[in-house]
Amino acid sequence: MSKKSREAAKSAASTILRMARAELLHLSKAIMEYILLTIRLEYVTLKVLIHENLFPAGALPGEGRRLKRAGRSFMKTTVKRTVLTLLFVTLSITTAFLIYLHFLAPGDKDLTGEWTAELVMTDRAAVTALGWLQEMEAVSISLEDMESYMQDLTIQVDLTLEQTGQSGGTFRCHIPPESYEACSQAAYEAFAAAFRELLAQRLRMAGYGDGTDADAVEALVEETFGMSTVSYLRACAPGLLPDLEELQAQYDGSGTYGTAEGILTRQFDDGRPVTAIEERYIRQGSSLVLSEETDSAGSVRFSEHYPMVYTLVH
Amino acid sequence: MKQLMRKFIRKASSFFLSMILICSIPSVRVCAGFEIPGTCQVQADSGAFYPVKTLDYGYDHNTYFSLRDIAMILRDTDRRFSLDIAKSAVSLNLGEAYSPVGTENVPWEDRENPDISLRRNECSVNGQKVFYYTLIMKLPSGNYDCFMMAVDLAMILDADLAVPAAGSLQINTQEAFRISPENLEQAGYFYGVNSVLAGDATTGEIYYQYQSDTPYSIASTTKLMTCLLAMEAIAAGRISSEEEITISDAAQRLSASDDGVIPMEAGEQITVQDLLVGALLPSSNECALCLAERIAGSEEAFVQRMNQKAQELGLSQAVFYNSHGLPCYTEDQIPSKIQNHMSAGDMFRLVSYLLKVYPQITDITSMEDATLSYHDIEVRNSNPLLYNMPEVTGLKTGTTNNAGACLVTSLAADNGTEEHDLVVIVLGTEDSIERGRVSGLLARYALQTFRTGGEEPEEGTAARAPLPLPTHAEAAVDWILRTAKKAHVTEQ
Repeated sequence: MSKKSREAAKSAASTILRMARAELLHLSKAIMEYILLTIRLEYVTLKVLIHENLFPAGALPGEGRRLKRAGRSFMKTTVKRTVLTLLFVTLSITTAFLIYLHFLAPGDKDLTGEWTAELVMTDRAAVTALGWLQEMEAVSISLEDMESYMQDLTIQVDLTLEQTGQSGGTFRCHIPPESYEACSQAAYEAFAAAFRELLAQRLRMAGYGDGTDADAVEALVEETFGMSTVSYLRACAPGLLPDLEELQAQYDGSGTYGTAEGILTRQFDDGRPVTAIEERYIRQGSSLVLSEETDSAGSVRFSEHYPMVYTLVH
Repeated sequence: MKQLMRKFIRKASSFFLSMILICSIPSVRVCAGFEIPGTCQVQADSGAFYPVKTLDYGYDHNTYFSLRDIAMILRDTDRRFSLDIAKSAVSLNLGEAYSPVGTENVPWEDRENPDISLRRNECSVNGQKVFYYTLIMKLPSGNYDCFMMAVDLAMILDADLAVPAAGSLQINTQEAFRISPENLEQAGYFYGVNSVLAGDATTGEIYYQYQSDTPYSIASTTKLMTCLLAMEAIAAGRISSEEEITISDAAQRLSASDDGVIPMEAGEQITVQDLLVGALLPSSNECALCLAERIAGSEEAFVQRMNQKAQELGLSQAVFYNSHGLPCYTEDQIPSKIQNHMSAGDMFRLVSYLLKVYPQITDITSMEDATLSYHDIEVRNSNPLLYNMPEVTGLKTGTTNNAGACLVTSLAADNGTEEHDLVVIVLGTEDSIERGRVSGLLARYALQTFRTGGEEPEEGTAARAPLPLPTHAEAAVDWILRTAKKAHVTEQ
């Protein structure tokens, strides 16, 4: 959890504690009052008993009975008052809390902020690279080994939301090209490392035992194709990642958004072919989870990138 | 007296009868047509027809042509050649003027009765030894003439042939030698062959195939699988090529049998490299057995590995019973004679894999001869095509009664922009003569197809475009291995 979200949680907790403390104080006062009333009642009862003992029945019948009746009546009233007080306190707390949640707490409707998510590309890149390398005769690499070459391949997606109304506002989504390039470079370097390793094995099998270290193999590839292994794979092997243009067509854009019943609707106003996207969302603290995309009929549209977890940056 | 007379008459009759029989043998022989003299009208391009002496060997139309007669016809063309013919050797020098001896382009004399036999006389072209079957006969003048099949001569001269009419032949000196296997198949040329296949091992493309899905006995071409497993073991570090192996009793027994090739003594040491050379060049069965025993502990275990490898490579019709390809018998009450078998398609897949992963095998199979470090035994390559075509790099012959004469050939083809390994597989020809001829024809067809794409380029079209970079992993590996090979050769 980020620092900001921790602070927000802390302040919310302290507020609740203050309110609880106040209510507890109120309750304790009521309890004290009840105790005092009980003591008073006991005193009265004792007085009645003493008087009855000193003055057996009939001696001062009117006053003793009167006092006794007064004592019982007083007990009932006190109990009633205590129960009512407790009920009132509880209701007050609950009402206050509900009011707070409904009107004052941010809840899941205010999505304002700069959010960032990561598109994980490791699996896709590893599977594509593996499929190409498996064509090599006599040598092989497992998917696990391929994935160990390709770790943490992610592309950043930036989403900025600004609430301008009760349940909506404006948004801007963007894939930074530098993030895409970094991921692409890392993917192809991993691909090249795996290819060089398998090439080295084939060179040894073909009787070229000398000069099969990574540098020697790289030099051989450059001599053969006139370019580095990474450049050759970029040019001739299948693409490990979707094109930047394809991703930008899917994610980049700006417009207005609205939230209702867990659906985030984004209306693009930048002339793209798909003008509106509806996604199920959940906001939890400083995390915004877009779990799936729905069409206008509410049916789920499959996409490999869901669920997307955005983290609040600002 | 009467008895004496009877004895004398019996003996005289026997004597005269024997003389008659002896004197009739040549006549019978001539009448049987073992080499039947004939004449064919031959023209160069669209020039005049000239008579060329021919010999039909054993059968009508199994025709061998007089080289002197043809040399005379071609002496003023681009395909001229000179001849030097001795009792058992013939030498052609392409491009040189022919010197006539006076017997050219004249019919057979009545008294001529060729007494020659078809064999592999020493034959060279431009000083390079080649491997063709020829008939050499002595002329009355004291010179010799050599007879060769027209198609063999056409392949040497790289000239196209045509048959304009029955009893005539046209040699097109302006056209390169071309064949169409499809036409040959229609004419029944492959009827006497089990199966054939010609293709590109680098790309997997098959240029031509005939009955390539049917399994046939493969004889000693089995040793290609044996050597594949040996190279795998070397690459994996389980054995080394310099390692010395102790010859077993079983190997000695095989060596001493009728199927033995290299004499071996049990208990002596021989290197793995010697065993590979021995198995691949002269097709030594005992060398294959030694390799099998060393790699797997026993031949039975090795055969299991062979079958397992066949399965891994997808050789669906391949079954192995031993490491060398000789026939063997089952242990049933009525034993069955069994032999290793696979289809030509399987063999193509096996050889393509071998050439891609262990290209160094052609360093061995391209040698015409070698000397083993084991007792300095000299061995010679049994592959006939190795001597006839410079592009040939291997691979293996095989012959048994059941399998017929088999040959797996690899060629290094270069069309100016790329280099590929081509493969020709011929299984089950009648004899070694036919095996060499069929393989030679298909090898030239494979080269022709690779270099031209199967079609003649149109006039005025641009030269072949620069080759694009390979987009498949194995093709990329092939390019890189060739670069490594060139670098390796340069260093040496």
